[in-house]
Amino acid sequence: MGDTKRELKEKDKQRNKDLKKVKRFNAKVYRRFARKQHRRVPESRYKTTMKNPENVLEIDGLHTYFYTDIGTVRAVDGVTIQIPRGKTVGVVGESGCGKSVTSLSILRLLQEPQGQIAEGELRFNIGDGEAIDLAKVPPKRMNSIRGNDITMIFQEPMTTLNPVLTIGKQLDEVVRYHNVDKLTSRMIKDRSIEMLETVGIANASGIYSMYPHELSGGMRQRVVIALALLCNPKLIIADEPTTALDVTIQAQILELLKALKDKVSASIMFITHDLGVVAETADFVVVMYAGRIVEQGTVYDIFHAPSHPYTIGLMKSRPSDAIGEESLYSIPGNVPSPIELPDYCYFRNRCDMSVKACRGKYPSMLPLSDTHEVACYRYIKIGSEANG
Amino acid sequence: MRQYITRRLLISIIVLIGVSMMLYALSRLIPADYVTLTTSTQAKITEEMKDHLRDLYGLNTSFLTGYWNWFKSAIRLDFGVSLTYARPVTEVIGSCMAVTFSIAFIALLFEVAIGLPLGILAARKRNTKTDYIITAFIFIGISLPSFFFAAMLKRLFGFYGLNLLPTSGLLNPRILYDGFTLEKLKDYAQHLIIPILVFVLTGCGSWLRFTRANMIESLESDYVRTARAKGIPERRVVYTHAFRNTLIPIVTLLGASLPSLFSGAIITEQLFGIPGIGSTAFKAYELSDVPFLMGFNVFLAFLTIVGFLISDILYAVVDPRVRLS
Repeated sequence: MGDTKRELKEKDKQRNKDLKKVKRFNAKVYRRFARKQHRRVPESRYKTTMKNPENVLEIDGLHTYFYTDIGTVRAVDGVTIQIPRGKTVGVVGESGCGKSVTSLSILRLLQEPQGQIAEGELRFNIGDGEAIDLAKVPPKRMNSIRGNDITMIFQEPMTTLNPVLTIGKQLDEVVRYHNVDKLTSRMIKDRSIEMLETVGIANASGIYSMYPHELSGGMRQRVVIALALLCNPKLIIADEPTTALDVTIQAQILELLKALKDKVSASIMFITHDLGVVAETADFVVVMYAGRIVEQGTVYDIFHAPSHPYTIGLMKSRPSDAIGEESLYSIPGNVPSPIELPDYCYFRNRCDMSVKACRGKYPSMLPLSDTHEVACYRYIKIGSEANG
Repeated sequence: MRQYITRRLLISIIVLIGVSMMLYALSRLIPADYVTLTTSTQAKITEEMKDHLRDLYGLNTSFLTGYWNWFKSAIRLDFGVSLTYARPVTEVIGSCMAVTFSIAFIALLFEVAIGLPLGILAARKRNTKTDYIITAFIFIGISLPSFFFAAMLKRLFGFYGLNLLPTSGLLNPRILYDGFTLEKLKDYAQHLIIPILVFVLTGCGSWLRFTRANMIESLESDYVRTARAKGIPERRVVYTHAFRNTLIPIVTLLGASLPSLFSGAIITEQLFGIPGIGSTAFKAYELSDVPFLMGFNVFLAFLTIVGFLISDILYAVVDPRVRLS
């Protein structure tokens, strides 16, 4: 008994020591961040060029970490996504895989200094062959991009609008603070009402002076979409815009987004865990797992030839495939804890197709075709053939 | 809205009657009455004389008749004569209310003016040095009793310290009988600096803490994230989007603090020799002066009810989701 007690005490001591170490490390990171915050960044530091000028945004090796009291959470760990002009990219994955953190990183809306972009470039096309790196842009410049060039549609329409301000006020301020066209307040109001009509709200001028609580969930989501469209953005990030809505409204909102995309010619980054939604809206699909991309390709690639065991599992667990079956397929196990992930395929322990090679370190992306990439050892042979 | 207010007022009257009944019961339940307390040192006064006095003061009645008598005159706004001060209760309260109210009101203004901005600042800089320093000072203010600060400030600014400010009373006796002059106003101000400072030091902490907690909550809410995603200036995010929502609970607190503007502070007033309602009421309590206690406490109960009514109305003003009906 005494022995185990002493052992427990030792363990406790060790844990406390570790926690203290984490705290010291975090303090150092925060200090470094604060110093960086105050430094003035010359324009040359964040000016870059796009790899492909047809892209609106190139996310290149993005690492977003959260420095928590129990350790560093690698929420996004080396994500590379390209968003072509006028196309929709669907980002799929289960809860906690880093989809939303990726989108918040693009807009630099992370809870700082706990959450930080540790590495990577976010090249945003500002036209004329020039690009800026959103990861390095000073806060003021970033503010002029948010809500203007890049906008976001959030998940929960019930809470994303400010309950004490009228719809009109919340719409007007977007245009007022990004007033590129030097509009008068009369014109701003007209523009807001016009936008409300565009997103399919009848009685737009009546809604304009209402408060959010007077509208239904679907109506509010339309207002949020109107917010995102006000300044003719180049990129709209839609973070699970239909998850909180009921099915009929969901279909309406998706229909609306599709119709609007053609009208405003913006690119859309569509984040969702609903494969059906992706199939309907996206041109390209990115499948994420535990902060990394496991597979990406065109919609056709992903839905007709899902290659990563995780993607295959996701496809199998769709309710539409399970009609008549007793229970829905579910991928066994859970997403691994994002603290101190091991250096081997994160899906290994849940994978029912694992091969011997899976014991090795984390697989890199292998091209299956010009558009299709996967991070899995099962395709290593095909990959090398394709390369050579 | 009007219908709501009339209904609330009618309910308030019933509540007030109930409260006054309970207050009367409590005042009469005090074991020693006014006559016993004032005559206890005089052996010459016989029991018959005491009974006679009780008859005169209306203390010999049963609880119900006593209350009924009080109630009959109270609805005509006649609260009787204070036994301690031998003047009508309304006059006694009126004479010291101005002092108490002006001190409490000025102190409240300072508390809010200091507490809210610092609370917002602490919330914005949460878990940084700024936040820790503000919070630490505030905890000192909340935790230490008012008499500690009173004593320290008296020592620091008074005759034995820097000798800058008077430490007791309201006026320098020399200008007591002057008419209204600027000199007199300045003297009032000088006498009130330390007492108000004590109130502010002990009082602004609760405002600050309240603001900080609510502000942190709003700053983490989804609508603030939306506001940030719109790319509007941080100033507007904090003061328009987050603070407008923090204002809702603060308004409730403001309404509820109405009675405290009139209730006075027994300890602080005693320490500075201020003839406010706190020290006046304290003496009446000691002698179980039923008419005064009734008048004063019913007045406070009335203010409490009005305070809640005001905060309900303000609630509807700042929060569009609340519709009073």
